Amino acid sequence: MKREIPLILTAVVGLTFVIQFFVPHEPMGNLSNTLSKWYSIISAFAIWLGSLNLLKISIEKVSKRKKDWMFSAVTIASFFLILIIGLFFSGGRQYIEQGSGFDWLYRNMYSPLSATMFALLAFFVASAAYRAFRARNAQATVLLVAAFIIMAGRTPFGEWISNMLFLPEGWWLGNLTNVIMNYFNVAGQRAIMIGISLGVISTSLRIILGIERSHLGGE
Amino acid sequence: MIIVLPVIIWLVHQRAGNPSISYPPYDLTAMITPGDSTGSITLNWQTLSGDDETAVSFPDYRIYRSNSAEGTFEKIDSVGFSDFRATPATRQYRDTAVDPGSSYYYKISCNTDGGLDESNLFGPVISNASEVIDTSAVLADIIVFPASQLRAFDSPNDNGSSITLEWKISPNDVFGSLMFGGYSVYRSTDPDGPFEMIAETTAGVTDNDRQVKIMADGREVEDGIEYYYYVEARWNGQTAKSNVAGPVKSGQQWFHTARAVSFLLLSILVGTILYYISYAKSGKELFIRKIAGLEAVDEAVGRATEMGRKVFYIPGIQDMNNMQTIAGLTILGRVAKLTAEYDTKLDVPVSRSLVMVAAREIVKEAYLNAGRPDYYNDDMVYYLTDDQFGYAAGVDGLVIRQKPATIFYQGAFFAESLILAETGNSIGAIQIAGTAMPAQLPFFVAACDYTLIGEELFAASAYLSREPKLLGSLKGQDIGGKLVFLTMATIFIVLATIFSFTNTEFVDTIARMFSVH
Repeated sequence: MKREIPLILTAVVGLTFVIQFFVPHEPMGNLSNTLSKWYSIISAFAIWLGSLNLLKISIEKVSKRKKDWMFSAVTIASFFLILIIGLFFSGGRQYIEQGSGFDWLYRNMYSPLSATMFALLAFFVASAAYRAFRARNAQATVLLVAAFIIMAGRTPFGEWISNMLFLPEGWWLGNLTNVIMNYFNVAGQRAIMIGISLGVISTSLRIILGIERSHLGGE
Repeated sequence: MIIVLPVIIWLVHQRAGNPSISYPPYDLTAMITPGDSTGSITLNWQTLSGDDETAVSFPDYRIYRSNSAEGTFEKIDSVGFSDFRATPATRQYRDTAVDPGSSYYYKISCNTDGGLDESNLFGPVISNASEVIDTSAVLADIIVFPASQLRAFDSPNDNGSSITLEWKISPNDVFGSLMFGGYSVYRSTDPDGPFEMIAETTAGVTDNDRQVKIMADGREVEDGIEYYYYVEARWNGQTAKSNVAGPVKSGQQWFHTARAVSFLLLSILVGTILYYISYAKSGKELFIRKIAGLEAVDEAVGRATEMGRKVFYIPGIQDMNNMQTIAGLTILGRVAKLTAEYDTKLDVPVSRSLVMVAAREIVKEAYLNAGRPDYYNDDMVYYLTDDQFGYAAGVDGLVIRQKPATIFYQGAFFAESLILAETGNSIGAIQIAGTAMPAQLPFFVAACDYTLIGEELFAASAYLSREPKLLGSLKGQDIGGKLVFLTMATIFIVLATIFSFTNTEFVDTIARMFSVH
């Protein structure tokens, strides 16, 4: 029964969602909204599961002085700092308003840290591009040339070099960039999207029919 | 089927509503001047191209009138370039030389650079002077014309309690007009009233293609009750009532007709998948092409075993309601079984609590199936944070410190994809990624050893298990989806390309047919 009940629930809910997409009549009409609300409620409660798990593992690491326990100590301190300030020192329900303690932490600690991580992406893009754009074979060379055109075509350098080489207007790097992005790139992306959509439908059907059971821990 | 299907789709396709009727370029309308007891008639038309406030001259508009549509039209007056403008885009003319009770037809013409431009014929308008003429009445130079062609109908494809209104906007409702105050919508259950104002809307059209304003009335509408509506245009302190539309009843529909094409295509796909599942169950061999990324799973886990290091599994940053996360977790089951068999440590840091719960069940079951339940512990799957970059920082820290030999990224990823994959690359881990986020695929391709592109992620579970039923669904997806759909798409693309030179309306219809509602 441990396996059957989730399978039956999945099949019923999955089919219900498919039917409600095509049947607007009640009781199907509002079912999607209702089920979405159920999901939100379950997710909200589930946050505690995650938070408690994070605390449990971190406290265990600190108390047993496991390797790299200092990072866990910082995690615990940060967790309680923002929780206590948010709950007790930020004006209750107005905790999110400008000037509250929670807001201060958000603006001066969370945002800069988050932005720092995001900013690292620039360096990672550079290192990944350096590896990807090496002309090792014919395909990689095509990639390199396309990348050069697009990068140059989106900067003033592209216009300058197009003028210097006396290229006809249709062959300006900016225009070539548009051609590559609007035709080759869009065609490739759409092919991938079609494949993804078919894959999603096929996987959903397998799950609804109970053929696919790996997500329930089965074969 | 490929030939018949486009024809069926064409027949199934329906277009909701009729287009409103307008008569460019003039779109001439006329009505009895409100408040004028002499029965004068006011005409309104759109200015022609070139007749705007920046122009220095423009030919006169000549006003013609007749008592019948087929009768002789006589020129009664003309409106010059320097005459007063009703709005930046419209002009008005008041015909005061009318006989009470007579009906009139109007048209306008103008000699422009392109030759003679004639307007539509408008009429009949019947002059209805009062018995007592009030000569002291002060009339506005410009009057507001009402919204026209108002129609009300049950909102299609819904669960009731909604009526849709559609009207052609007032001629005074010109783009950017500060004087036009929008529309008030009135409703009653009796055609004679009393009408109650139920909503106010802004100026302008909501459907540019059909040049109409559309509004849904969902305010305490009861199914089965007859309603009547009119719309009042507000302009510079004046108001003008439209025609009364109705009776109309709201109701629920049993089938979403705008999704008929989706239903048809889905039925074909599902039918084909089911056929190939039963085909595979009969024991017949199915050819599935090799997927390098999935072939490498054994090798990747084996490498971690040889090196005595961990395997990291990152199931994306989306929750369990995302199909990519579910697809990612199905692969986790296979990976966990291998790590159990090889006695290799597995770490699954997750960013969603529900994913943590599901992943634990999967890993636990995999260890049980591998005959190694004692190797499993709950701490193999742990939660870090819901925050995108917090999670990326957490995983990066773990990767740098613990230096896993193998990292799997399977699920939905956003901007953190490259941050994670490059960090993994920097420590020399073998990396297998899989995602259905097209924008992140190039990053994974650049930074990982193997990448499952889009549909390969969803095929992974079937591919790794080699179970006939699952493989049958893959085959059905390929035949039903790619072969039929793509052939059909090719037919419509060719048709659209050919007709784009001759009949653009046909091309628009094709685009509408395949738009998702």
